[in-house]
Amino acid sequence: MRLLLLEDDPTLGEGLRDFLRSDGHLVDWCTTLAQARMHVSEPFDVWLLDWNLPDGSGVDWLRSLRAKGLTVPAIVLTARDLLSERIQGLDSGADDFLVKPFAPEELSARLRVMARRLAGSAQRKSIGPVEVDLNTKAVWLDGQRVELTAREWAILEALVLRAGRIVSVSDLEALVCGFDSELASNSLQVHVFKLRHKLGKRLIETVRGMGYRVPLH
Amino acid sequence: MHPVRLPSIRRRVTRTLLLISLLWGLLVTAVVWAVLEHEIDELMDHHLRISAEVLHSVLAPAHQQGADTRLPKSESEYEEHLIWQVIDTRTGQVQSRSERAPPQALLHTLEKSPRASPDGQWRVITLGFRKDPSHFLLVGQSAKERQGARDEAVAYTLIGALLMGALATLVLHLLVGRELRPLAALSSAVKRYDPLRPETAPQAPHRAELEPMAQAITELGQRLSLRIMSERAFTAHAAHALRTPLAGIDAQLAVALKEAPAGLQPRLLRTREAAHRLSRVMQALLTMFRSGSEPKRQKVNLAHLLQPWTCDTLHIALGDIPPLDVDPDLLAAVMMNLLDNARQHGATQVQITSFTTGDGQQHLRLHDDGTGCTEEVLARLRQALHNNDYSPASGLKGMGLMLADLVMHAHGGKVTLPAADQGFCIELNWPAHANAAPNNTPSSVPTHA
Repeated sequence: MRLLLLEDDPTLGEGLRDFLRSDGHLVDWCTTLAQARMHVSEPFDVWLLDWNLPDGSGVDWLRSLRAKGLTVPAIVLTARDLLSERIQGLDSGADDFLVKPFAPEELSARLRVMARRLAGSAQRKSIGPVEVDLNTKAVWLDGQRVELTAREWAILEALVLRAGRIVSVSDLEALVCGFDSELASNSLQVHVFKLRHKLGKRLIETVRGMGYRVPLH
Repeated sequence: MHPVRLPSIRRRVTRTLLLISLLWGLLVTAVVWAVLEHEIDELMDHHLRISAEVLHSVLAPAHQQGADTRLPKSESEYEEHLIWQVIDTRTGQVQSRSERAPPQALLHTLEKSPRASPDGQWRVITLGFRKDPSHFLLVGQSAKERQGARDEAVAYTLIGALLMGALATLVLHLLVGRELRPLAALSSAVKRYDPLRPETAPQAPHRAELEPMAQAITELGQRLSLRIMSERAFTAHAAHALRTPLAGIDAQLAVALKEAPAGLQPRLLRTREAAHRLSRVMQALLTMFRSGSEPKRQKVNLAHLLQPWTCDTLHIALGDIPPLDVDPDLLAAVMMNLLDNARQHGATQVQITSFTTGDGQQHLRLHDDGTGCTEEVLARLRQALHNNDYSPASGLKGMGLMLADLVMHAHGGKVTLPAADQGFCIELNWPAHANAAPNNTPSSVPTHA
């Protein structure tokens, strides 16, 4: 999943970024609200927001985003633990609330819950002869395990989480690259080609002039 | 120990009023008696004079005509309060007299004003006969009757005054009760007052005397509320300052654990456990120093709670311990600190046992085989715990005992330091159920081992 991590503490931010990356997520880390505002329109799967930031409140910002109609799932990471504050955080539009200090493994587990919700509750998705396990990041074709590279998995996961919907090329590039790196020209098409080669031509449909889609089955 | 019974305002006021009423009644009676004695004497003298004059007007003509003025002897017994005598001044003999009058003359000479007879039995008045200066009329009233009249007057006054006093006391008792009712209402209002909810502040009382008290309580509540608000703000800042770096440390260690070679893993694991322990202590401290927060009690398996505790040099021997009704984070922080204390004092083993006593108190006892402390130090520690004195002078050096005491107080319990032949023994006592009344005198008879 592509995650927007908004955390001003360098030790925690870096630790979470690296931990979640090692878990297979694409993490874009911002340390200020100003940075986050610049990127919020990009396609993220989950926002991870700190409450207290040097230039404002992450929760207030989330409330304003919800008011604008943005529905990306959000987890608030905060040092505030009073019941009233938890309620305030959830009422501002957060989908989950994690009180510091927390184990990154717990955050990772909560992200898997988010992924299941995005994918429609099932942990394993069957798309024709292809079976995808979002938890273990494993893929099978006709019951045979297929090995994917990290980039190929990122593309497949982004499409499976949005099964039935068209994902534009630019959004897909953003979902699998983040704003730290860029895909080389035609690189996305190459990865899609490789995925089709490994998992069958019918898994990923091309919608001309619009993007790609994994059909709903 | 029986609770000290405080003096009651109502009882004291009533008692004072009763005393005042009694004294007032007695004083009034004394004054009335003094006044009446004089007045009654005058009144009776007046009455005696009139009676004498009436008798004189009746007896004078008969006496002048030399008629026999002696009355026929009555056969019936009767009380005669007024008597008369006609006395011959020449012989001093009684010439004639009333039925009950003494045969001897009560006076031998004519006197102008009423006076007592020489024997004190009579009050007499004399009137002379104009045409016979050798005789005079003496009319007397018995001193006994006069005394009876005075006694009756005093008795009625006294009874009236005492009845009035008793009635006044009863009425005042009821009035005092009614006047003290606003005080009771103020007490109830103070009991309901939550300084963080200004709308619960005591309303203006119905008595002027209580107004300063109500105002002082409201102001105290406002100061307390401000204090709590600033304390909460401080806690929020402290929480942020402590929690975020701890979360960062844990995240960095989690990444390091993933990336580090196998040889480094145990070291990193131990470091991460230490960070977790630090988190728990921090959590417990923040909870303890946050006013108004209550422990989050739940059933806790102590063996599971102590699982993260890893120390090669200290063996924990756990008895058969039933699930404990306690805040797990707070108990974990307490246990970690107490076990750390034991280790620092050279203990190699800690025996942990638990039992519930008949008074509903849960007891958790930790007994180590360390160096322990001297009787003198133990006595100081007990005194410090008894007084909740956590100052450096109290003898409490580390955080372990202090934190344990604070956590137990939050659970409605306390920490005791039983005597131990060897090592150090500490016992945590708290009500086994949240709704059980705290009891500070636990029985020593275990009902569950």
